Amino acid sequence: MNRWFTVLSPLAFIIIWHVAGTLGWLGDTPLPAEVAVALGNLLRGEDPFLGELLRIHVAVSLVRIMAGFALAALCGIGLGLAMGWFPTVQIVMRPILEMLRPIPPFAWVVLAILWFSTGNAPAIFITFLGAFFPVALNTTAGVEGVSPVLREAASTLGASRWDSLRMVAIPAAVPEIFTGLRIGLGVAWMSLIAAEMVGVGTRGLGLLIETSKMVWRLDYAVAGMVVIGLVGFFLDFLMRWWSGYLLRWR
Amino acid sequence: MKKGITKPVQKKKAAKHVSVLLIFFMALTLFFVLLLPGCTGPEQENKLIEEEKIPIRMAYLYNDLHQLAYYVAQQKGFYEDAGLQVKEAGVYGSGVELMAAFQAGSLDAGYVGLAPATVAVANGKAEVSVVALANQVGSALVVRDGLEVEAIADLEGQRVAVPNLGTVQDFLLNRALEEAGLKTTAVEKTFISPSEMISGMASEGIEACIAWEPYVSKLVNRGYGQVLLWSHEIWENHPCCVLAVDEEFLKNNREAAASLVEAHNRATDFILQNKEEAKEMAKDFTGLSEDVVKEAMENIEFTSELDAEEAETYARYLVNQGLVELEDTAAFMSEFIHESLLEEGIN
Repeated sequence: MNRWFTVLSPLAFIIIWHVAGTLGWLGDTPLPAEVAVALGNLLRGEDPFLGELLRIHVAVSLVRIMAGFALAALCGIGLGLAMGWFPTVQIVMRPILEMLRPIPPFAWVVLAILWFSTGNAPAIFITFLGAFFPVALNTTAGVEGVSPVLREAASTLGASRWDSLRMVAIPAAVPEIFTGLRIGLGVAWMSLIAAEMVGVGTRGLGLLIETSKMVWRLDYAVAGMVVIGLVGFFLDFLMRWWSGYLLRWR
Repeated sequence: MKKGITKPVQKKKAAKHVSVLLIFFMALTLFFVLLLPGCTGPEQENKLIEEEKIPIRMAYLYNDLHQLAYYVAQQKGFYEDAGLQVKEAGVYGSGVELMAAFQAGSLDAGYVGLAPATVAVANGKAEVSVVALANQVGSALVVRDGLEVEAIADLEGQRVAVPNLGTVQDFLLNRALEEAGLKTTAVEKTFISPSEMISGMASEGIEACIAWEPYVSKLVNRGYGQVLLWSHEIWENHPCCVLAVDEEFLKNNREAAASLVEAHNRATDFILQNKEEAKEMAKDFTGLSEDVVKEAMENIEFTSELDAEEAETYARYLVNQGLVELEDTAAFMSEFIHESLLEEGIN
């Protein structure tokens, strides 16, 4: 039954979109059929604006996202563990993180170009920013949430502080870390348009959406959005499967 | 856990807190839903501005000098003299956003680039008419300081930033490349907004860029670049920013639209005849530095007379690029541009 709902709910969403669009409630928003045609055109050949194949747009965006995300995972988990385990690190870092966290990716565009020039590096930096904060803060919460009883038990059994972190805190924090990674990956995709407004040349899904918007081809812009949604959904599925596999002992 | 408080009691308390929170957010949502339509929105459309003395909703782009006539007309009381009330209904980051506001019925008039206006109308996404030109020329191809680039041919294989596809600047660059005997793909085009071109030049991420004023003067003034080619050297008298009005507004308020053009023309004349005062006003209006405003204002030609033939050249380019579909660009332009509105209104 649940599987049916999984299939039917997107279908219901498309029907509602079609009906609302046909009745004129959504202004000039393209109808699902128009988006499907644009998507079909993109799948068959080069896009009419930037002259690039869809798979190339997807591939270059994926590379940027995954590079930024990998870096964010590395730094975010590292800092999150330190903040969760060492109160001093938390006291020093928390205010900085909480201040930087709400800044939208678009606000970083100018600084990203200044620091990393143009091309992939500033784009990766912006996706990194998107993913970093959820990963760091969830990891911190995961380590903080480790039961004091477990910590004390490890200590009683002669575990050093480092051993306790490695053998008690990190395994106990894994579910929270995965939650952070999933949220971080989603936010990294959300920052893609800002990331591809830093002079990345003529390739990328974010750029395709922006260019389509510039020339008022909203059917192509929404088609690009649909592709981002589908790729993001697939990656999230992979992440859930991976966390389920790793945490099967729970 | 506090002593003496059992788990079910805590659960009950937590549930109570969540309920209070939900009620609070519901009330907040209801408040905004009820309040917002009264504050803003497209409710004003179709009303007769002359009869009901409703202000004209005007918009423009931030950080630009092109809409200086609007500020001058406000400050000097030209709108009042023309019997109009004009209120600022939005300051937008790009022409596309401003055209979307037109489409949503939130605007009566706006200062916007000819490019986004033409693209939106030609694609049937907005119903507006151009009633006057705000300025012409004033864009430039700027090369990073220190590079040995003396002619456009030297840019072959270099990274050149353009504001976006289908913009007048994109057209200018393509034309300049073709005139130099190069293909339009001879340079590595990259899309960056003009405000970010400055940081692109500063970080040496691009070798050249094409932008409009005041970004050209900002780049030169800060020592990041030198002008290689002015836009009037590529396309003489090319239109840049226009005064556009909503079709519905024009249909219902032709006299008010004519008065708006009259005030715009008066303000444009004022800018031309009182250059120093206009520069001071531009400085106040934009917050730009004195040097940048002075240089930029020397390069922008403020004029209200729009040459439909020049505008059609751009429309043909859009058609050739496959960005819009128009069977007859001349017919499109004759409907899109209302050059004689002022005379019609007065008559």
